[in-house]
Amino acid sequence: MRETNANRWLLLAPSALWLLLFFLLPLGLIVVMSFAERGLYGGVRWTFGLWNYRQAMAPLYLWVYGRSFALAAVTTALCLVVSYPVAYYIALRADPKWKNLLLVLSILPFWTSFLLRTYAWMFLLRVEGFVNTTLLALGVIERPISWLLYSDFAVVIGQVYGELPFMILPLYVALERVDVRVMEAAMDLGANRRQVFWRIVLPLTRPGIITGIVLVFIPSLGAFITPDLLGGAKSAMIGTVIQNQFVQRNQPMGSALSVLLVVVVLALLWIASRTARSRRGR
Amino acid sequence: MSARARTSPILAVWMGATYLFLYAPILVLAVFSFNDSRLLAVWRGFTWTWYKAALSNPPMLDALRTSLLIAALTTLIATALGTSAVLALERWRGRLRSLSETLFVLPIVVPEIVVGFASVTFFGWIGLRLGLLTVLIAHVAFSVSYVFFVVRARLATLDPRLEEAAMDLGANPWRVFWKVTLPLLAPAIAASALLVFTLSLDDYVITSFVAGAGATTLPLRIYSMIKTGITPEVNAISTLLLLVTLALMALAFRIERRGMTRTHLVLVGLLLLGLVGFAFGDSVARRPRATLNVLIWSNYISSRVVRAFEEKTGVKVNIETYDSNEALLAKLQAGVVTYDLIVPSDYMVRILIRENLLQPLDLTRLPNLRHLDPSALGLPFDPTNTYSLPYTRGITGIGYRKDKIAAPIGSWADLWEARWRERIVMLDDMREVFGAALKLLGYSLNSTDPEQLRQARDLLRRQKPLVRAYDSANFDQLLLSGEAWIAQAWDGQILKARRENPNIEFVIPREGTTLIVDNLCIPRSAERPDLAHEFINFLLDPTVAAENMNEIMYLMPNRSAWPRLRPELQRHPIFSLPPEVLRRSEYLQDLGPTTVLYDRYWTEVKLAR
Amino acid sequence: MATATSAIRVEGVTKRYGAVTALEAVSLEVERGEFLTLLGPSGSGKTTLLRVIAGLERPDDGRVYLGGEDVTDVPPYRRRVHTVFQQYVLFPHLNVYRNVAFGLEQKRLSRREIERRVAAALELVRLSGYERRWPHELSGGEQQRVALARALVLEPEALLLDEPLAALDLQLRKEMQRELKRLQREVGISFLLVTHDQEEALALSDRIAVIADGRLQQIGTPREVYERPETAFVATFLGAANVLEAEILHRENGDALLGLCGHTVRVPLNGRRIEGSRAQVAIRPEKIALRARPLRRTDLVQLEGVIEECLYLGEATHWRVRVGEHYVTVTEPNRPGSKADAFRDGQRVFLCWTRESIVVLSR
Repeated sequence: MRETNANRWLLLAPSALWLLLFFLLPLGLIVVMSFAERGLYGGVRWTFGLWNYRQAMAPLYLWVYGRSFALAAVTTALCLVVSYPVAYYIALRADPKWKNLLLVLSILPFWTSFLLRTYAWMFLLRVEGFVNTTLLALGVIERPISWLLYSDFAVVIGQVYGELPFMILPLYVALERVDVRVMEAAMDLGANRRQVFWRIVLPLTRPGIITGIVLVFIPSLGAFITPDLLGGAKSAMIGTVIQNQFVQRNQPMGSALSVLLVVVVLALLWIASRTARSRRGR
Repeated sequence: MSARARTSPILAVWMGATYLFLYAPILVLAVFSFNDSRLLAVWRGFTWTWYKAALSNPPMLDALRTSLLIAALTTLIATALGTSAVLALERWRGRLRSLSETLFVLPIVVPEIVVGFASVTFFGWIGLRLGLLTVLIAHVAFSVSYVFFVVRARLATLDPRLEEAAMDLGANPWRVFWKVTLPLLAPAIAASALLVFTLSLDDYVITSFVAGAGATTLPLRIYSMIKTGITPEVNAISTLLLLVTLALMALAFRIERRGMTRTHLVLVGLLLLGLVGFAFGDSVARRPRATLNVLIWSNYISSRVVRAFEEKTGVKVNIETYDSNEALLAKLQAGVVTYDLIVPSDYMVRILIRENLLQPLDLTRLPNLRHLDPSALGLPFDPTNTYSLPYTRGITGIGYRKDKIAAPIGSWADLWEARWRERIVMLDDMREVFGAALKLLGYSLNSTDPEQLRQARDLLRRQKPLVRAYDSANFDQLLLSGEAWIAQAWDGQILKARRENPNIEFVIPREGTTLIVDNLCIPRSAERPDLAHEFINFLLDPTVAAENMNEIMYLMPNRSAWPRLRPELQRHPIFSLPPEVLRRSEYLQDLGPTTVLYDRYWTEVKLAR
Repeated sequence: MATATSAIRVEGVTKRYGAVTALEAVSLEVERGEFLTLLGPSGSGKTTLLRVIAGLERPDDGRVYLGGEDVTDVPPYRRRVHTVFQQYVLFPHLNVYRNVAFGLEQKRLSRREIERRVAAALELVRLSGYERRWPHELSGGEQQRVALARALVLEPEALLLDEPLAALDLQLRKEMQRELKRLQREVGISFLLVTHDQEEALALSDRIAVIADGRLQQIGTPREVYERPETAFVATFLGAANVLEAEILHRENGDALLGLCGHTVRVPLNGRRIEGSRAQVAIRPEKIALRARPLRRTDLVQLEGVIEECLYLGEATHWRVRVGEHYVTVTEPNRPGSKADAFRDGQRVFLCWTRESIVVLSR
């Protein structure tokens, strides 16, 4: 049935058309719209110019981009630091009997609702939430900590919590592929455990690290749920700003910000794929 | 082996801590779903209350049905489309292949927020009605790529010689496909179906943009519940969903490891039957005469009143909420939506009339009109009540906890008080927030003077570090839980919260404030204006209005209902408003071109550090 | 050759994996500059012994000495022996130069020194000019040489080689065998080679240690081990052998009087001690001659049998002969004028061999 070109086209057409029509065309529309002008009460005036981009380049928005970058970077770094030892343990140290169970347990939260996992943190971090009440009861603190919820701290925690499985998995896959014999060979040639890690394991798992970074950084950059729920709608991130533009019915500006975000994301991906591929470039 | 030997204790502790981090929140959430206390995170005894509440919450069950329906259809379509694309591109080299791959990779890498924004813009542009269909379209669009990559990864590991061997043994291409290729791909197809189902069931961001009347999915419902307050009911729902997910996953992993046994097949079959039965059974069993789609502020209508109307008429009322007039306008303008009844505030009625988004009311079909206080009729935004009838009258003020704040509160300046740093909550509403600042500066809250607006903006930017959250739906809960001590607030919700905690006070700032009339209007695009009229008339009935008021604690200009009000409502602060404060208070007005400036300054405030 | 201390000394090393005993009280010495081969079938424990010496496994019992120093508790990276692994195990993310320089970079050496020594090592294995190549671009033989250079560049006390030639095809294997021998002579350090290939062991080694089921069976020069195997296992694993049951009738002056297939034979024991009344003896197939009639000589053992099977193998012919209830294999080279064609299946023949060809095995 995959004989003729006509058959192939028939098979490809439905999904390709669906994506072209309902994904690519909308993206194209906002690219066009990003050069248009907002109408007074919403709507779009089809006069074209660069004003939206000029506005998006104002310090105010650059600050938001910077903040989003910083929060995404912190999230990614934390995910990497937390995940690497975990993936390392599962891939190279764990008893084979437990390996699968440990792996499943580490990615199982991904299958549960992101929204509910975020809610769990709201429940924990409230002023009179679980963390504060417990700390108070234990006598660790005298007054509830107020910056737990509705803060960048909360946003980062929630984001790390949500994205952790996406870091553990690629790291695990990469570490699993590391040949134990290569590590032994290094040891045999005089490298101690630490040197084996830095000179062998880490470089060999670089593709996994890059994949993990991409998988965590990109969603974090455009995050909406965590800044909205855990940040108290006051910590501005690109995601919330785009949503705000929608509420303010400034679709051209929202389009421009969206286009910029997509451009940044694609640029990052391009850099990542170049880095992953050029394992010889040093 | 020495290279693998001895795990250092640090690594073991690290593992333990990570798994604790992954599971403790979920566990705590589940444990407290059984806690016999609405607000506290302290154990107060065991109860099933929240589960009963969650399972007998019709909007929640409706949302679950909607979600299951969309997830099932999305899975079906996306799996079929994705798999056939994989087969089409198999061993197809050259430009078309790489182009197609780029096309399929995009939905995975483009941020959800952009996809949602672009989709709703597109649907609005082509004039497609927002609803189940648009949600389905968007869900398939973002999930077909996952199927594509999961199935393709599997196909890449298949030995092409298997197919050749089958052909060699005399199978024609169709038989090869059904007997060899498809069974070999089946695990990947099943895995991708599971993934798509989960993604669709879980999606909030994209759905929140493209959903319209009657397409409220579970995440949307839960989101608005979370937004309007943390209650153990959400914990209960979460726990149930988590359990279902865990059971599904456990089943999936067992099947993957041991292969599909007959028991598994039976289990999966029962599960599917159960889900389908649940998703469709109810609507078949007691199919409502019709559905009335209402888009209203959160906390703005009594569920008992809604149920009474449903029982009386056999019409199903679908309630969806918004938190600001701007959000309402955005929803109406984004695309074609078919809400039958909306509740915009005064100035927004004017904008909606001008934008031609409302249809005239047929006052002859509203005999209960006579109960309305004449002073609430013929207001400037709609002098002839052609498009609107008043629903509630409200006032913006300050709610606070007098057990936490000893000082007398009575001025907008109290919301700028550094002593309450991180305990101050402002409404997440551009006009209200600017209104407070303008009043504090002694200006009109309808000011269009750029200089005054600049001053207001600067004032608000100074306030920002003190503000704990901007919130229009949840401020009463924040006060109740002690998260906030002082909040810019609308009267009804505070009076309601006060019933739970008498330490909560409501004051109207002496600088003057916003007077509000929220109105019942029928959008031009409404599908059932007849039912909307019926519902409006029902709401204006004095008994109904009294019950509604006593529940939501907002006043209505329904004279015949006043004698039946709770004493707290009869002593509403609005009745004892000093005349000079009343003189300084204003209704919000449409600002014309200055709106753009407001929008910009509001963004600047929200973006400020 | 022997100096005051041996390069490697293993004393009573035992290693168990759960219920499986991989090594049982193995003791062994490798002299300085010696090429010693550990020969055994797969699963015999030879690789485990190598890993114990390298420090990659810790023995459950026994000690390991390198250059007279007890290193049993020293981690692999501080031992002055290095390994050439099976399948070479080059670092896939490093080029040839960096692979060879890997061990040197741990030490605080100057760049120039490292460059000099890497160049020398590559020269030694005849891979000069391959510095910038990547492991995956190299052939098996080239990877092999890189692995050798990588270990040799560190000037180890001894080089451990774990089946280094197993992955190469026959032609290349022969070539690399010669290469290994050359290298060992050139650098003059001890080589400890693990292999299951008896030919390789015979061709390369100064001494061979045969290992089976975790026990050392026999150690000696290739000639010793081949000509005078101590056990039935050694006799059959290293070359082919007919192992026959014999009765010990009498012992005197280092000779034994054996009852073998109904004959009485006097056999030199060569200092070998045997206990009890029965023993096994081994006779190499190529040391037996086939005759149609018995020869009139008393110094030969002559047995009568029936030919069951005849296999023509080009350079030689194999015969399977039934003698009483035993079967004996005979190999005769196909020289001109040989009687390969003279015998056929079912024919009665006489097997003849000298008394010296009989090796009495210890159990």
